Amino acid sequence: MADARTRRSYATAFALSALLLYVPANLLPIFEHASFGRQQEMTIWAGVIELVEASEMTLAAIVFIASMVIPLIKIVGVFWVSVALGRDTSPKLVGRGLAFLERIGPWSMLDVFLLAVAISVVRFGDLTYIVPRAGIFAFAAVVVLTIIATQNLRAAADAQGVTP
Amino acid sequence: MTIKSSRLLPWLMPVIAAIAAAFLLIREVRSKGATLVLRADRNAGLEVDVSKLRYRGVECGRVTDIRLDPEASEVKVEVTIERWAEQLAREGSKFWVVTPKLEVGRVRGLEALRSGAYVTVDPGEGPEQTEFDMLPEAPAVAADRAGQRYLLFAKQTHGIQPGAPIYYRGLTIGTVVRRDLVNDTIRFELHVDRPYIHLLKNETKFWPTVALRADVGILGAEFETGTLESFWSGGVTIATPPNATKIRDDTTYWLAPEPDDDWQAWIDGDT
Repeated sequence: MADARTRRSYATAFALSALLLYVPANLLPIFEHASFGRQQEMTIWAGVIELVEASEMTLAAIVFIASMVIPLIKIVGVFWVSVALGRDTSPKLVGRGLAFLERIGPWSMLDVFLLAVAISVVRFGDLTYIVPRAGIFAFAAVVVLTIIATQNLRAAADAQGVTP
Repeated sequence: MTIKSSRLLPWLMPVIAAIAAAFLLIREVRSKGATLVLRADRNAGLEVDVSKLRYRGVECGRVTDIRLDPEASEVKVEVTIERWAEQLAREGSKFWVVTPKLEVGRVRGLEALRSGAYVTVDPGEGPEQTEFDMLPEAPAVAADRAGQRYLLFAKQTHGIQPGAPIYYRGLTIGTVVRRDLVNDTIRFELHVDRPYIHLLKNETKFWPTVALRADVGILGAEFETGTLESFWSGGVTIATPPNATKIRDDTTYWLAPEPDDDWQAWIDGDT
């Protein structure tokens, strides 16, 4: 039982860390793109706006949900499950919430991988290139931290015998 | 490990995260320099997000916006300057656009052919400021070119234009920086390069450099030409007599329409 409590506080701590880094991840540019001398820094939100202006509504929605909404849902979800585990809330509900968190967990990393691929593919010297900026590292940290938080929750849940 | 410290251990991570987040944000804010507004009559080929601000060939900012002001009477060019370069934007700083330029006697801004037009600056001395009027073209003499300024008065310009060279024994020792009309007299501002300042004395004489002179007489014709550059923009030639006295505070120089014979002799050496 003591182990479960430590696990829960680890989960909360990691979720809180993720929340703190969620701020620079969204405020700072995630990459810098240059083509034919035109240099641009891009934040996640600016990317969404650009897609909306280009009438790419589906893409805009995907980027917005995957990069801004889901990480936030995950962080809030970890907080909720962590509190719920300590309070004897219906084990079924908690188990389901935890399973949901585990399922969506790795998908946010999509952005990071996408950018990693883009950086290596789009590189034609001075003509066109993409370089990562601070934002994407913060973003990657958010995703990794929420995954670790979820794993700690799972361990806590297992220790308390909560199964979906 | 005591129970107490093991309970605190998980909270080390949020502390690290908070420090990292604060570091990233502060670094971003600090690296963002000021935004300068440069007013100009027209946009001389600058492009948003492409054109750079360069100082001594080093990139230190970028054009982030170009727009007409509400009355459409002038162009406002916004330049985001790197934080470490903010000291370039001071009262008295002169900004202008470098474009490739072909003139007789010299080619300027050739590097702009490759990179496109860019903004450059001659930093001033005053307090930092963010709004400037851009010069329509490059000043004739860079502010950091070592030398001394002198005034030269004349009844007329004799075709001498800003940028015209100043010659001493055929050697270029400076440049005409500016010319304007003051009290119905032409006033030239001359920049003499530092190594040659000592050539200017109280008795120094100035006259327009001969671009082309033809003496046609019974015995034939005699032509005299100056350099190609002086043919285009004119030029000023100086001569100083031997045993000339030091320059005084009240020394005023006047441009003679043409040299006296003995001035030429000072140069030729047969006094």
